[in-house]
Amino acid sequence: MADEERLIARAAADDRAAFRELYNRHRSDVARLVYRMLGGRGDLEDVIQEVFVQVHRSLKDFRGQSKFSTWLHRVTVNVVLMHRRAARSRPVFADEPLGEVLAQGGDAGPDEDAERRERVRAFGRLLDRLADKKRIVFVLHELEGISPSEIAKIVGAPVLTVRTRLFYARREIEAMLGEEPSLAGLQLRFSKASGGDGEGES
Amino acid sequence: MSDALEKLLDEVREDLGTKEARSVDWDQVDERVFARIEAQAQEERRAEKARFAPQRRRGLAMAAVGLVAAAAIVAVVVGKTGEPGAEEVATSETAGTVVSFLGDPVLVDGKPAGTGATLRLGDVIETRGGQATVDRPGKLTLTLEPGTRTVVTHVNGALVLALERGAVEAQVVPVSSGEAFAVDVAGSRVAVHGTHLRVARASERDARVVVDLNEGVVAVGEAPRLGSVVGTLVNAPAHVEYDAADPAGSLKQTHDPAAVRPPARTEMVATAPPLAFRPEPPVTHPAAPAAEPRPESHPSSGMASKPSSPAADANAESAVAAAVRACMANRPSADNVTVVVSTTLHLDLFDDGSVRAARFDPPVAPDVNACAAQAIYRERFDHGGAAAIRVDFSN
Repeated sequence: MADEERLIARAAADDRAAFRELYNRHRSDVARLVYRMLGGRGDLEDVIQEVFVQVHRSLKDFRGQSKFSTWLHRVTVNVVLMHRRAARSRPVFADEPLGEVLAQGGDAGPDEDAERRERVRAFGRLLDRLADKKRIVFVLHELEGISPSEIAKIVGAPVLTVRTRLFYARREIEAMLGEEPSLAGLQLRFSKASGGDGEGES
Repeated sequence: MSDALEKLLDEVREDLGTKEARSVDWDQVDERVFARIEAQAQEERRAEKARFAPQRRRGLAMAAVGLVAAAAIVAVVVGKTGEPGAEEVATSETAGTVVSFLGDPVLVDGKPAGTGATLRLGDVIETRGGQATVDRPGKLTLTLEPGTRTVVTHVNGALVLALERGAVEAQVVPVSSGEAFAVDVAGSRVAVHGTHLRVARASERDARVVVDLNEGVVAVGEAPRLGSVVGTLVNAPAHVEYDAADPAGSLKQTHDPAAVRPPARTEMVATAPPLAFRPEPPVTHPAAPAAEPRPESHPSSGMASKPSSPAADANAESAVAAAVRACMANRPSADNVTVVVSTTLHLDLFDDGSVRAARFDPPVAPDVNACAAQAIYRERFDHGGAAAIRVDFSN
């Protein structure tokens, strides 16, 4: 950690090699998070690029009052939100895929693997239907494993608000499961196994 | 949360975005990110130059410079005239006035300049076989030694000279914040807040820089694109040598007064208040024991290994931390702004516990640096070697 602090201080002082090292360390995590929040592969590389340009521009303002990862998440979330807002104002052409990742093909495996891939894709589509604020807290908490208090710092909202968004995000996702054929089967299987409807809140 | 969603999330956590992150064309992204960062840096440099570009250039000086100056200097001047928008930027301050010279007259932009000549941003100053004294009233007096060639690169507020070769000796009136004067040598910077110093460089091809510091504190580091230099603090008396390509890694300093070149005997114009470096009054933080007064002058024999020090203090760490916090507390800030600072002060100590070198990591504001240095270098620890002092501050 001390090593990372030194690296951050050097990068903030415009040491290009230190910034490159920080970039190399975090680029994969940023890419995964961007993908999850963006709701698809489209523009992934542009957004990653924008995140790191913003990080470089703002690093001198990073005072170490929060963890670097928290600050990096905040920058990433802001860039994704700006990108989505801009994308919404752009005209969508009829033949443009709507942020959905279709089957990549070419590496078809056993049936179970194919089903799993389809479930993950279907879940991505559900995520994309959530409102931005709910999707962000859901992704950060449920997929990235970040605590609500940390998320509160990232999104700049009270912890209670984060918990509320999380609650409604889960409820909406639960409600939408039945609308995706590949997920409806899963829901049915579990609800039969547990003998109930499986509703619950954590 | 339902079991179905739990199960689904287990799969999604593992799979969603993982493959896509791996399949990113990193070569292309890397190239674009760093190209944009470089473009941004160039834009900032251009904006910085434009801010300080002169309102108007004088006559045909360019032609003369083109004939006599070295290629590097020509590049500086040509770059300046080609700056878009440079003509629109007003520069109210000058670099100073030539108040005297010994021997050959000084050349400004290749033309002889006599006593009373005003130096401006972008001027290329050469002393050839003579020596010139320049005064910036109320701010500094500087002497350009024979064989010196330097370019005025900044005049608003701080004066910055880019030293191509030779030596510059300056007596600088202390400023309460920021830097009053700086000398750039091949990408490195020696910045001062108030001091008497001499910076020398043998030639344009020589990256070795020699600094003699008779009073005050200087910061030595890489010349920043914008703002103040963040680097090693050096306290007088000191003789410093470093390689301009690597100021932090190559810097060597000695506080042996015998090793420090004494101030030049040439006339230094007395436009400034007395410049003996006087530390601020001792900080009044309750945790800080009163610092013993530092001797005003150093042994004239010059045989001491370093400045004489006060008695060793078992509570030196807490005293230094308190003094640094006091410096942070004294910074002006808006009433409704909460300032929180966490840093570590790394000290390199002589065997007798007095401070050889100090560095904040992460760096603190230059005015805090300068203020803290006065307390740090006064302190004497009860051990030699090194010390790391955590400093947390909140107003």
